[in-house]
Amino acid sequence: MRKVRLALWFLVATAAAVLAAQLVVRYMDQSGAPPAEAERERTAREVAQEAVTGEFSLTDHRGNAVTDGDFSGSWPLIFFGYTHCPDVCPPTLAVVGLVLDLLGEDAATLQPLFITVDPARDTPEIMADYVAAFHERIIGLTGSATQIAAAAQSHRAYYAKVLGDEASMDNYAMDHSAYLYLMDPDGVYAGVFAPTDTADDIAARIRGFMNE
Amino acid sequence: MRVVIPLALAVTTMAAVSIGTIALAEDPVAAGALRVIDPWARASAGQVKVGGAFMTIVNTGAVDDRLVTVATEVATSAEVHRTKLENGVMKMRMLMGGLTIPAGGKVELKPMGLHVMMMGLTKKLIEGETLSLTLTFEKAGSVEVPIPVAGPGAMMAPSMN
Repeated sequence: MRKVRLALWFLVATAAAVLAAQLVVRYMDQSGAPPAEAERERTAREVAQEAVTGEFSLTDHRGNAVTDGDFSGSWPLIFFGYTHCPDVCPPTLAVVGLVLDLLGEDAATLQPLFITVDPARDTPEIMADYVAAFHERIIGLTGSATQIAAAAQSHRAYYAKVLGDEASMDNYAMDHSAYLYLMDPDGVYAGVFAPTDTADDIAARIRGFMNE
Repeated sequence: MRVVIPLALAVTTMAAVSIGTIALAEDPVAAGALRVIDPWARASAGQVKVGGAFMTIVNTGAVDDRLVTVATEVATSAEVHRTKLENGVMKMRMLMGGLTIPAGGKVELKPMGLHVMMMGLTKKLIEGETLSLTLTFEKAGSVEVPIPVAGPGAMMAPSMN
């Protein structure tokens, strides 16, 4: 019996070693190894189009369940943030409002979507009042923690709760990706804007994408 | 102790001279050697119970000072926070240990940098109105600063628009 037990442990150890080796190889393929020729030839946009798939299933600020599919035919302009963000989110929303105004008639097909990364505090009602302060066309989206995590994942967006003294006395703050993503009417990634880009630049580039 | 008065006079005179060279939109609020310039806050967006305030603090004196606490009647608490954009990720952290205002220098509290974070707002901040912040410095003591409220997505003081 003792020999059988030992042999079994040996098998388990071997299997674990093989698995570990496979994981290491896979990890190196992803990060360390040089990309294949075909990979290099693809444009950054193509890479982003594969990575940013843009799916979501959330609740809008009027309380309706919505998915990315509901916005096909329009150009969704998506950004992540939270209402307890006093510095960066408000001017980003204001810039989006300006972009809508600058685009004039072209803004009809642009659909700004503000997705909260703090669903615990950002109910549909809170989101409704918040987005309305910036522009009537902006739609606020919230959901369960799982739905928000899935939406962030499909945009390759990062967010994390920061607790304790380091964050503030106000319970917690949220770190979050600050990019604006533009998707095309087929739901395919078109481009990305930085929070430091001006409304003029963003409006001009959106027009460029729309006229491609 | 007699030395203190002439010294204080000298510092005040130096302060008056150096402040005279800076173009100011409005008379700054003074606390000892410190001057608070172009303060402003963002209007509340909806029901959100936090707000941000911004300003420039100039130290015309010969010694560093430190902003240790901030208080306001419109919020249950207020702190100085720093916002940083790191690899496309927005991070906001409370500033620990106060904010040093270097001798002969200035510190700007502005968007994408430092701000006063007001938490637990007891009143909605409305564009065009003015709130009051009490800044307490280690050396200059406490000073009450009137803060005009700009739009909810403003990037600068209403007076600078």
